[in-house]
Amino acid sequence: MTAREVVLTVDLPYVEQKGVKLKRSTEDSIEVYAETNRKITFKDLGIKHRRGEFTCYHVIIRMPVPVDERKIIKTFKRGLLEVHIPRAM
Amino acid sequence: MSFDRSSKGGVKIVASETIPKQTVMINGLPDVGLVGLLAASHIISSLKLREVGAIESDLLPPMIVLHGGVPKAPVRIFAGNGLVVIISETVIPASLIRPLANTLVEWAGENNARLMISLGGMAVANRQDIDMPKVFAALSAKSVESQLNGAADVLEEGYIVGAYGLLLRNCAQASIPAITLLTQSHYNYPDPEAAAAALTAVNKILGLKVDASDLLKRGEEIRLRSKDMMHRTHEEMNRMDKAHEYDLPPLYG
Repeated sequence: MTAREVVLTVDLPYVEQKGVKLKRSTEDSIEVYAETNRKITFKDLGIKHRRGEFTCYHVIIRMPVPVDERKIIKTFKRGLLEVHIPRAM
Repeated sequence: MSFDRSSKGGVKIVASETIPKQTVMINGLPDVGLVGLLAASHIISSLKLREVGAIESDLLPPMIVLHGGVPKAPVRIFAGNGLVVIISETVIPASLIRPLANTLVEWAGENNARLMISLGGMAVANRQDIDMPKVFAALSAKSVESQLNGAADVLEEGYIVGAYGLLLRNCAQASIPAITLLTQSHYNYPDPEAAAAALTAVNKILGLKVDASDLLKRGEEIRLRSKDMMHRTHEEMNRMDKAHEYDLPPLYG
């Protein structure tokens, strides 16, 4: 958080830029939804005792101060999402 | 053959076979961006180093790691090719750092270690914009600079928080040449690219030819696999006030 903005970063392996969606989920939180470019199973990772697979990441992040989500700047580089959200003035 | 050695502070080095003498010791403990752990693990698997022992302590969580169906200690020692490599698959709690550093350096002295290289990360805010992470080195003594072979820029001023700081200081006191390599990386995301850069620096220092490209090719898998480890490491780094490293040391003299 800086004097002018809140910076949000999320590490998203197996995600491409087009798979990332952002929205304001409640008054004071931002929701990140990111689809992976392939199905990931625990079995791929050598885990036998947990079953299941996933194709997306989903996280809701609470904003520490009021923000103006209409002026969001989003970049996606090296699998890392960086979002700059100006503070509401 | 097996022998135990107890040391002050409740850290015990349990060797399952004789540890070679006069080797180069490499430490890959969980730290900023998991740089050291990823790079050291890669050295172990690429050079097919043998597991020769473990480091045990009551200050570690009561746990084991299963690998290939066999129970293993989370902090282990590998050896081969003139190297002794130490990695930890669990977070080193702040309370363990001092006794661990004391024991490791004492042990390095007994084994006449030629050089100790600790691999860590140096968090940078604009990491995504960096194509080739830079490697910096903190040295136990000025004279060690000649061993760097230009692999890293030497740090002159600053703080190092955590095991690598203490290891460096203890090595300096014990006159064991030591290099702490800090590679530009993400702070709280696993950073295989930074690990590859660290590995390239190690290659240059030791004249090794470990292929770092696999770390880049398997980058996404590594990032996904190490997410949980990174999360726990992040919590511990906050506890030991790792952010102190961004401070400028006050002038003196």
